[in-house]
Amino acid sequence: MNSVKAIAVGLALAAAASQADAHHSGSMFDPSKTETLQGTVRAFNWTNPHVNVEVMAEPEAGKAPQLWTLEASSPGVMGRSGWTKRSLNPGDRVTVTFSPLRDGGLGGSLRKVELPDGKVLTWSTSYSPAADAKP
Amino acid sequence: MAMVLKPMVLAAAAGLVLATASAFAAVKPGNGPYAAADWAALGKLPDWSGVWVPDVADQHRKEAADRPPWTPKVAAEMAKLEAEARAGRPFLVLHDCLPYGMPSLMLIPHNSMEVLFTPGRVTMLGESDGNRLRRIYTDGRKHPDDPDLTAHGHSTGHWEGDTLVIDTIAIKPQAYLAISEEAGVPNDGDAHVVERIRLKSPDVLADDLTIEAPKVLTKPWSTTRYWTRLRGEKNDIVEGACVEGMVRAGKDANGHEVYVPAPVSKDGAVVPRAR
Repeated sequence: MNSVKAIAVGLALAAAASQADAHHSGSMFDPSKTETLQGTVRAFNWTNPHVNVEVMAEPEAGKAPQLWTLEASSPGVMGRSGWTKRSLNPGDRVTVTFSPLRDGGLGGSLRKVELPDGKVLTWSTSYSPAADAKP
Repeated sequence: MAMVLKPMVLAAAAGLVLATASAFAAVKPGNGPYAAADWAALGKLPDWSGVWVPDVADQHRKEAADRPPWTPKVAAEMAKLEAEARAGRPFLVLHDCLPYGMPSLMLIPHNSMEVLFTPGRVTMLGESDGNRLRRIYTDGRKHPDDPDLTAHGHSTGHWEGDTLVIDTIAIKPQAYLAISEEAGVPNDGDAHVVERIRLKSPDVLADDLTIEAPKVLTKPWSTTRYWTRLRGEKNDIVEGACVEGMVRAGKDANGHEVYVPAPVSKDGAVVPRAR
């Protein structure tokens, strides 16, 4: 009985370890730092609980290109800041501004996206009722 | 004039309970049936329509300014969790996509909710995951004698004027009492939450919570959370499932549209490579 239980727990832990922690806090990112990079959108994942954009960064001379993942908030929150699932598309050339991961990984909390046509996308969790009264 | 004043004076003398009782005199415990008058009586309630977004900045301020009276043992645990979060190694209160649980659902959400009034019921529907849901029975029922424990507990409510008073028990001991997405502990059992929710101003909903969690707090903790109202179709609540973050759209062997595991890193973000 105990060994069966132990196996079940072991399997559960193994499953957990190989899966995403889908909903996580933002404190793995360092809000006191801001980084910017240029690259090409590889994927724009318009999904709960966190929208994210995968950007293939332009490589420095002699180095391989790096794939960065920049995370934002949920589709609901992003939508209220004017984003849609079509805001970014694979192949878009972008300049992204973000707060980097504290551990130095290739990721960050997305703050701003600038597109070649001059369009700038940002988002916020703060709202003004008056400003949002219209559809 | 006197004819009009007299009932007002009487109502004032009897307190707001009278108005509440008259609005819901016909509603009995037990999910209806409800008559047209019961539906019409909803019109006497305050207007809580719209999309309510939590005041996240206020939540963050209160992480430092309005701390729960943790037991010494839990206070030490929290200090450790908060230090880990500052170091970029956050404990993830919500990592498994299980329901927030009460009272965390009202304390730390970053996503919106809407509030529906039907006879005998107030229903809160949260965004970003279908289980961010509360059923609050306002039909006069009591809590069950031996309730099944759930993440959001068993909630009964009544109106005191324009204030909805909610009593919640039967919360699972595993439900976190959290002050942020990286700082919280399971309530460990016997949690009890009383809320007084009312419009603080035309577009701000205030939830005064008094939280008893005797296994982790030395005394009841009273705190307030605010929600701001948005209107307009662009602010509609968006359907979501938290576990969507664990998967991506893909194809199975037969070419069908299916979900496949999302690439992840050790910290749970979809951050696939080390620098």
